Amino acid sequence: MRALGWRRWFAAATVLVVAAMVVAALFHNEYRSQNWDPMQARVYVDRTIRFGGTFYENGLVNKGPFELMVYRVAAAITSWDGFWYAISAFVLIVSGVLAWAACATTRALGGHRLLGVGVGIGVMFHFALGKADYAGVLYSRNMIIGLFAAAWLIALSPRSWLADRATWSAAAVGVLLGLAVQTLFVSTIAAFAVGLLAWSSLETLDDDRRYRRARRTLVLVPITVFLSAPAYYLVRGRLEQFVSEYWTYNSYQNSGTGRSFANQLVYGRDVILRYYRSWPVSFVIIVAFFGLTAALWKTFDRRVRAIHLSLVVWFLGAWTELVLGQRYSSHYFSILALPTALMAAAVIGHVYRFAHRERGDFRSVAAWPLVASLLAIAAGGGGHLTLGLEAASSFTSVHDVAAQRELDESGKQRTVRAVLDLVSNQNDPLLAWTEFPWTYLNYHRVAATRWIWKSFMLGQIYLGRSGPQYVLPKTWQWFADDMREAHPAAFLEEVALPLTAGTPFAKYVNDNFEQTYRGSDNNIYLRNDEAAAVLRGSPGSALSPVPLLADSNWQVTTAGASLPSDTPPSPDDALRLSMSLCTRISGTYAAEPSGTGSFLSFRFDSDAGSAENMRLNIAGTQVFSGNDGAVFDSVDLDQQSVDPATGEAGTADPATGEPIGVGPPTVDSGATALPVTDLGQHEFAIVVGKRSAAIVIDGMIRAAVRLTNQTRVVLEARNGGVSLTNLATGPPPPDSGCATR
Amino acid sequence: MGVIATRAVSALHRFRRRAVTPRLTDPAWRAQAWLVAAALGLAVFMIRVLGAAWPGQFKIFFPDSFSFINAAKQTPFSPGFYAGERPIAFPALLFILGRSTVVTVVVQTFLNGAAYLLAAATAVRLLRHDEARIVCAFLVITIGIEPRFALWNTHILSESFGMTLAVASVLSWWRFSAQPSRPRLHVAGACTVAWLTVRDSNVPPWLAVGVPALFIASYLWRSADPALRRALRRWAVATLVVCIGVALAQSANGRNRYATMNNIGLRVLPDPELTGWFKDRGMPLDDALRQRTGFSSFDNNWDMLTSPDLAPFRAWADGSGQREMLISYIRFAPHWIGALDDDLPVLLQTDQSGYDAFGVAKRLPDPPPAQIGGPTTRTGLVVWTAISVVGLVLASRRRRVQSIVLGLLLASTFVDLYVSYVGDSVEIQRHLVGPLARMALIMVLCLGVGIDAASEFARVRRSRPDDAITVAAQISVQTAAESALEPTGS
Repeated sequence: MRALGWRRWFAAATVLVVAAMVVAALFHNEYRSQNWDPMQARVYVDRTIRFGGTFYENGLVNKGPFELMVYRVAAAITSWDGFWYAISAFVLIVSGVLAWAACATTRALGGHRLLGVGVGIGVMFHFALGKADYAGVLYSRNMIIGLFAAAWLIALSPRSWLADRATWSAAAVGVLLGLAVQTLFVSTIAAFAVGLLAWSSLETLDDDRRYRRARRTLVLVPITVFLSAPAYYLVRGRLEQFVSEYWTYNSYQNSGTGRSFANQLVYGRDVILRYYRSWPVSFVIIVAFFGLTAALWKTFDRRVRAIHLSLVVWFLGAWTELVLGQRYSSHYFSILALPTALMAAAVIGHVYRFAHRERGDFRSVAAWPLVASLLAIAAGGGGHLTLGLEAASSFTSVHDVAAQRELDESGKQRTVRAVLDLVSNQNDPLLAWTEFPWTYLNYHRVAATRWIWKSFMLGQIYLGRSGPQYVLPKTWQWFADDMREAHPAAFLEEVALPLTAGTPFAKYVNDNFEQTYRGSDNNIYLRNDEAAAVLRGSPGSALSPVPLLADSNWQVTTAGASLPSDTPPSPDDALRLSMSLCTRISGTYAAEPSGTGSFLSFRFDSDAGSAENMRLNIAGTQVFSGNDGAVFDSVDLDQQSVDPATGEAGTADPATGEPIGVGPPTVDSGATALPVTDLGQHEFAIVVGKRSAAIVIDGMIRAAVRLTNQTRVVLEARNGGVSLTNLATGPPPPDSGCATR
Repeated sequence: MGVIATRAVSALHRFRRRAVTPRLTDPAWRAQAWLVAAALGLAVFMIRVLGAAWPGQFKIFFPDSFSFINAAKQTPFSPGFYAGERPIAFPALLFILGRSTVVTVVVQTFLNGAAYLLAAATAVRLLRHDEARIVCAFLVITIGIEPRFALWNTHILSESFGMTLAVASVLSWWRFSAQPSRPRLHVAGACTVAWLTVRDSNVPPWLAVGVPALFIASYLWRSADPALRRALRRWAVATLVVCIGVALAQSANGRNRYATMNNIGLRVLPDPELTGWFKDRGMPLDDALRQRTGFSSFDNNWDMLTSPDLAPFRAWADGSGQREMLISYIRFAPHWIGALDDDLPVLLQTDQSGYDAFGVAKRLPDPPPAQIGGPTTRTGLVVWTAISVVGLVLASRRRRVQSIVLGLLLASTFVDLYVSYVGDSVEIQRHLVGPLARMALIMVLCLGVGIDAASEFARVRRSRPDDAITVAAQISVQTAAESALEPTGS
């Protein structure tokens, strides 16, 4: 043990702490990276995978194609459930590159190798697990700083600029900078700053021919890479889409704020002042860096000057980018964070150099990375680290995590998903009038149109004005193309964002869809043919249900059955309606409540008892979905309600029409405590597909539930009795997963 | 394309020649790489054990946990600390860590994981053949990550620290036996003292096996350096003093009164012969006590501890009753061994899930198949014991000291098992965790030295006769040289 030396024990301890950080980041950022823009990118990529074509035909992409290519790679190497783990791994890779760049900067300016490692660990923690909104995510700007950092690393390394490598290094730097500028054109100044350092490194070449070739490469490659995108789309015949989104929409975004250039500068000045008031540490770093640069400029050699100059230009370029972009979303500040971090690394390198010159070697240097790791956690906050460790600790498999999340889904989401599953498969197109990217991802669907958000069709500019002048030309033509291609089976409307009338979108919905479900959060419209199959499907042949018990209280007739209201509730004394899924059972029912109301439960189970019982319940005027232990979602029938105690009509809220005093139950106890019940006769249908089932009452879907490995449909009276007539069994909807195509 | 492929292959070769080969052949780099790998492994182990409840959810709820915290509150600067209701090692750790639950849980998990990694590293260092090293290191790690042992890291109880110190003690004695020297003896002695002070039940095995062995070795190990033999004697005395100190502390604070009462209620009163013996030795047997047959001191709201009609019994249990109970462990050893044998299947098989309040078992690999991580059935115990004995016999020719020391340690584990079983009649499964973990480790080490010795024999036999003679001669020379080096006393 002695042979290993105490320095190695510090190294091992550092590895332990950093490994914990990396593991925590991988598992926590899987969740954290599911942010707004990344979800948008995923929706576009999913659509591209589903329908083919270019990224610009599958979404409104106002950046270069590199961002979506990265997300496409993530989709290619993982499953649907594992997608965000790949993104999380990319976040770690970017953070690692940034850390390496900071480490190299410290070392290039005289810092000890282990000091550089310490600085790198701090930077990695900040970008992977830090508190800032840009940490732990993979926005386009995170990718851009990753590209810049990689180019910076090449530019810093003296070995990259040896005679036989200089051209290749210049080409690599050029590709990286070109991709960054192509992704966001406003990052040109920052790219120029990094290129400046590479240019300076070229000066070490003695061979004039090689020097000129490398210099030429450094200039031409970024330009070529930048132009490769329009050239590619020109060749593919999709230049119009590319220009429309990459150029025209960006010009809308620029003018859509309504600020003059002077006003942009003034606004920028205010933001800068506010920013440094909030982040005094950054301010101290900037002041120290600029002070050091000014004070020591004359003592710097050419290379150190180039590093300092590049960082100054990069820093100014980052602020210029933010000011001209006119948007100061917290995620955007990553472009500023990297040059600031590199400035800090530079200052630390200089300070070490001075200290080392004065007092020689530091014996404690082996402990610095460990100290830096602990300081990073202490200063950066351990909240995300803690969450990451929790996630890593309980992780068993991607599938298990997905299954757990499905169990945790809200009831309303379950209902929508179940209805969609009745008429379409996962990854099928969904038309939505929404402003959120997760609308599609939550339901495992792809966007039916490239205009995934209503704002694109209404000309609503992000943090700017609205108006038809901001709707891209050919928007409606491409929308019509998308509809022809996608032929969506369902349209989802958010109650809080109702469909705007008078648009071609609204016309398309009105002409082709019928409302089938009205919920508190969402309304679902099904395509006319699907709606007809679900709501008014062929009744088929008469159904004679079979009691499960020999001495059952059910009285069965041809196409009918009844249960007296005073029958004691029994889960065993149920009525088997179907021995399989994939059916449509229709008829009429009239509840016969006992003294405490009525409660009918359509139970989806398996005769072997191997499947979880899923239920569609009717309790008085309420219809709800659930399982044996929980209520997922509930709606009220639009019916006159009667209080069973008095026989009088219940009091309804004039605003909502809902019976007063009746709230949706949250736990399915099997008991009915509802004061109001329903004595009317209703037409109903239990529509059962392979993946889900819905209950249709009086012409509308009232509740729906997803199915797994259930095999039969059973009716259970959990309170009171019922009279069923005109029972029939017909075919399920055509796209419910039952047909073999 | 062909040119590019050729260049790529050539670059790959260059990379291997310049970057990979020099490192892999550099022992210092390899040592560093193993250290890094161990650190990564330890990080993963800690994350899996601690992560899900990290950091604020390690609530303490066992009465014993509060009792440890109370003991730590006295601080080592108070005389009462050394005669408190708990042995001093774990309260001392709690004191050092500021009685913080989270910090203690992290530190004891770190120490526990590091101890098993150290055990694997020691096996790699002390064993000579790769097959023995791999098997031994793998099995040691397997024991370390077994949920039934690892889950104790999440509790403020002495089990985790006790297992850690047991590993340290066993390893240090093994290292001493492989190359006896005074520094190694001092380390082993210190680790043993720490282990003795973490749980009261660790004292009897050491008194029964360790102390006599040290005394005997100090007189009969004639080939050893006189200074080393004197040091052995000193450590025998020192550990004996520690054992006596622990016993005195026990009697001073009467912390064995609960165990005595539990045993009387649950094991003695249901048995007429035992009851008669205890009655003859002064136990105040009356109707009130008879009514408590089948109850422990914690049952019925601590009835035994509070009921006025049991005052004479409590006085007896606080005083001579504890001594009589200890005597009964020897006097009725066949009876107790029979009872242990009856309960053994349950005790060995338990996964301790009742104590897994933080779901550690869900986050660690399932216990290994075929009981390779230590016995979990009575048959497994017999088989593992047989394997260990065979391993020790195989090792006895060329690793005599190792074989003797590991044999003694193995013998002490059975005493440990017996004492932990008879010592208290409640939470027996919990009390056996430490002894079983220690037993599994020692058995694996016995297996390791056995495989090591067997590998050596096999190599000699596989060689041609001429070579066999050469190899045998080389081994003889090597063994002789090692024997000469053993008692360095430096």
